[in-house]
Amino acid sequence: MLKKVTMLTLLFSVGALLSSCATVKTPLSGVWYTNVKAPVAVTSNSNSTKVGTSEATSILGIVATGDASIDAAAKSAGITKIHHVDEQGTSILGFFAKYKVFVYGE
Amino acid sequence: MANNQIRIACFARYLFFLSLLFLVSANNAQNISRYYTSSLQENGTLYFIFPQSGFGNNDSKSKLTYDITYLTTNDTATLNFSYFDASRHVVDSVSFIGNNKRYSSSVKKIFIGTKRRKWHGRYSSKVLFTDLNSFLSLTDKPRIILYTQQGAVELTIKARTWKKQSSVAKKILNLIKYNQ
Repeated sequence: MLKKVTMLTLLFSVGALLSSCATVKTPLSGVWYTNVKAPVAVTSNSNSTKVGTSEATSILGIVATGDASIDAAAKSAGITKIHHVDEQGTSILGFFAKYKVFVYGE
Repeated sequence: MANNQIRIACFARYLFFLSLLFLVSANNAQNISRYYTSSLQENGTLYFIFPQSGFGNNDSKSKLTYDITYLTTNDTATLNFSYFDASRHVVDSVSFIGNNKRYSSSVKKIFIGTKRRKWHGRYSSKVLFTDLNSFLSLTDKPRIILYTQQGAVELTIKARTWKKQSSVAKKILNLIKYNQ
């Protein structure tokens, strides 16, 4: 049992060492933990009644998937006029990272 | 002997990092700011509760995720949901059932797309804020029924998942009420 756990730990460690860490785009980042929200864009359109999100995730910096585009976020809430766009980056110990986009509009 | 000690030390270090990771996530579970965002508008404050998952149907392996948008000057909140199913369904209306109460609403299609091998239907429905409050306060795990052209699809949620979701949602709705 201990042998299997050791092997798994070793494989996990080697995988983590050979890969880069799961990093995320944020204005500020922490090595241990990051959870930062920041602005992306503002338009001259007034008022928001809808909010849409889109996201992409990365695991160990090896696999990264998702559609974190403004288009996907706007489409998710049926937004045709964008008011402003925010982003949020989250990462834990470089193992897991998530990038989210929030679109506000109507 | 020495090898064993090194192995045990490695294992202990691995456990330490795992427990640290667990502690970080456990502490954040109590922090409701992770679950919503708010934005000040000309006509009130716009709250958005991030997408929540957990509802599904074990037979058809279909899943539902929902998010809630609420502008404080309105009586109704917008509940947008994504429904993932192997076969294509067009949802006409939705019912939320729990504690012998039923909250029904018609739905508007936003788009139909695909995600991996499943159909992804994105819909929007308007729900009275008071009804939403009552639904999210249900102590028994609720059911969601989607009425489609092909028939009704019942979606359930695990009691533990609902307990957490309901607790977070109640806190956010209380926060909205305090700010009104």
